[in-house]
Amino acid sequence: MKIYSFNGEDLKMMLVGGVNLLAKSKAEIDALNVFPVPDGDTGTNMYLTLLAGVKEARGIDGAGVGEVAEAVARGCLYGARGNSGVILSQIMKGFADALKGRGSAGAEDVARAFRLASDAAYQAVTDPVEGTILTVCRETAAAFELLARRYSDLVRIMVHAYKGAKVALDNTPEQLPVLKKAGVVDAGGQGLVTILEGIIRALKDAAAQRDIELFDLAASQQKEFVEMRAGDYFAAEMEYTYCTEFLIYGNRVPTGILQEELGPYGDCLLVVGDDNAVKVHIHSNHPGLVLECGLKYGALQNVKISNMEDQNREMRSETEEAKKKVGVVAVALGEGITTILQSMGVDAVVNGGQTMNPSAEDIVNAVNSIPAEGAIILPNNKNVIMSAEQASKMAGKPVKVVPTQSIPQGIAALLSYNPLESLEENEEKMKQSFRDVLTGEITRAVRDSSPDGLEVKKGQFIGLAEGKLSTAGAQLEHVTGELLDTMVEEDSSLVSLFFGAEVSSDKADEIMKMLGDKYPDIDFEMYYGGQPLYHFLISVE
Amino acid sequence: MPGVKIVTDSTADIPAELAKEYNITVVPLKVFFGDEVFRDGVDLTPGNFFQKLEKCTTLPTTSQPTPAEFQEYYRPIIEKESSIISIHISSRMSGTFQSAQLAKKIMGYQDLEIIDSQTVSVPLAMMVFAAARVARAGGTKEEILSLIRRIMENQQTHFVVDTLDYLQRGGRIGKAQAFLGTLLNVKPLLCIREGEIHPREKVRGMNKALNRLVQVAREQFKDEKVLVYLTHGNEPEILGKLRLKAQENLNCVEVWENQLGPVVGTHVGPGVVGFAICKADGVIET
Repeated sequence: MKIYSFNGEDLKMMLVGGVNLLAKSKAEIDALNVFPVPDGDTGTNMYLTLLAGVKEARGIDGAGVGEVAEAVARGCLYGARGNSGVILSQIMKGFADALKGRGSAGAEDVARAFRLASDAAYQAVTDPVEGTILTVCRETAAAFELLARRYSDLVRIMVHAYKGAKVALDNTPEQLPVLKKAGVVDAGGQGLVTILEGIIRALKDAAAQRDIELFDLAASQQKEFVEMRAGDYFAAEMEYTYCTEFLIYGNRVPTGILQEELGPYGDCLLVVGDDNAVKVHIHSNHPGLVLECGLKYGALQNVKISNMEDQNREMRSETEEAKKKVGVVAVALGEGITTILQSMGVDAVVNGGQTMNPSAEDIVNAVNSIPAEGAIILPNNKNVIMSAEQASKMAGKPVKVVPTQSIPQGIAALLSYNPLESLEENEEKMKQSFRDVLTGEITRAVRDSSPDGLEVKKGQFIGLAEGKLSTAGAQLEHVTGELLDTMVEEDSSLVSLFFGAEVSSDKADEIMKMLGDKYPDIDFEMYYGGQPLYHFLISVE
Repeated sequence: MPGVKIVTDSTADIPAELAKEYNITVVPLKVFFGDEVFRDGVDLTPGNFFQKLEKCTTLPTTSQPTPAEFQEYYRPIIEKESSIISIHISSRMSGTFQSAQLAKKIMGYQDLEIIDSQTVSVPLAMMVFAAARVARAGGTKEEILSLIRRIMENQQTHFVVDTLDYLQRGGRIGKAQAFLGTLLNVKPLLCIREGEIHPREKVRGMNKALNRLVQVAREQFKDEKVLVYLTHGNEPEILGKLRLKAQENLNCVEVWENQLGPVVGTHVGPGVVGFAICKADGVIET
């Protein structure tokens, strides 16, 4: 069946097809949404907008195409949601203007309608940006104009115009960098293409219902649909596994018969060529049978059978392996500390610290293992800085060392870390910020000593401020409190304590409460660090 | 004389009684809790909203006014032949500006200036109030427009959020720019620049965040006379602390505060505190 013109009821039917497919695809379209505001609602907004238009049109019966289009435009305008919805409402407005007063419409009317729709869409936007629904709309209009001059069968035109729209859509990332960066096509453009596809489906269903042949053209054009589906966007819908292509060289190969014979074996069938050479393309689950069938009419050449599921998987894994610019390798001990560092963006933690310095090789291995183009190393201990410097020269990628001498300094440096900025920018900012904190440590004395007149007995708790011994005593809470007395300054506002493997969380809570009572104007935070030997690592800022 | 009528949208978070007092028309955006629709600030007050937000299972979504709705608000003003200055949420955050533009085009009314404020909430309110004051005193359209430009050039907005979840979910901040560090009570400091929310820095702890907010403003404005408009999601106590710090460290000649409305609240969440600050010189009588 060919369609040369359509009336108001037909238009409703087609738009219902568009709405239905939008309804099914809206979540995927939402996920594409990065421009102009990446709020992930483009598909939903377009769906609700078109739905409002169709509902309005349903209220009138037996009207001409002009009146129906006007009702759709009115409904869309009132129901417009979001930017894409507003633009869609203007597209419908352009359509309605073009079809005003008409009982039915033919190819040329539709071409004109698309042109006015595209113009209206551009006018609706203050600063039209290419690579969006606008571009897709304009290209669709251009395709329609071109095709209307050559054909009068609307189905055929529609399928070709859909192709044009799809090409424009696929090109959007080239026009709009934000799309390319996100690895998506424009969501609004996808919405428009989905509506067109829904219309084609509705037309196909209508044709099928009337039990009419046709649509081999539409089917052959489905190649593009399926290639789109090869992306994981439509992966779940893949019905046939093997893409089968070959050439038949023969005498008067009957393309029509071949097409009929191959039809049942799959979809996306293409049989094109002249009397002597015919190219066959089909997606099928039985490539062998397809080849046998072709063999009847001549010699086969350039046979190519590929498994599309494999291609699909490869395509997906390629997109997943995106590297970031800068990663971080930190040296630390203790599971709690490790988890905290990872939560702040550290890609690899090398075990090591005061009494267990990691080798340069350990650090190099970690640097090379992380999925980043460059790396920052945080030694987090005075005795590790040298190995880190050495590692930076041995690694297979650019590396900078931010010479942090303690875990608190490492954490302070990480506050300025941004994986998307350059290595040098990160180095500079992290070097600036790690000195913003004072580091305190509580551990036990390993021998008797009396530095600067402070009597220290082996086994006593000692407190170090910035690496310098400042308090000692038998009680953990007293030593911790005294150490803080020496460290807290007038503008200190936050003290974080990371309690070690030898401290129970009850004890830690008790000490935090004591400190909170003593310094009511300071925020205290207690975290499980799990580090050996150090009862507390303390950061004052 | 018909005069100039100031129109804005509900994302300026101007309470209804003040809008009435200043003769400001407020076009509401919409908030959707599932299938329930509320007009921002009309059917849903900030207080009710944050209560609902706590209880709801699926988070709300928002939508700009349609061009048709804008037409309904513009129509009675146009009938009185007033000039209209319509000041709206940044076009990079919402399609509201777009809808207003389209309404203007459809209505074909020329004496209607639609301004993309490049901002939202209290900084937008600051522009709207300043414009409304001049309009009330009989100022011309040109005077009001140049005042708005002046504020846009001199104004800064700094705020801290408890969590970036809401901003990320609504797409109002680049996902890639997300700040890490969830385990450590890291507070992201953000600012509004060129119509968008930008991450500024990360600090640890709310006290530090508040100090830093004021410090950033202090570095910029020093002892200049300033207007400070504060806002919060659902954190009145923290807002109080921030107000004190601002008053201690800045030469405030006008301080105003409010609570975020439902639409902005949907996108930043309850744990936001911050302010807009602007040189008072040339903006208000000092």
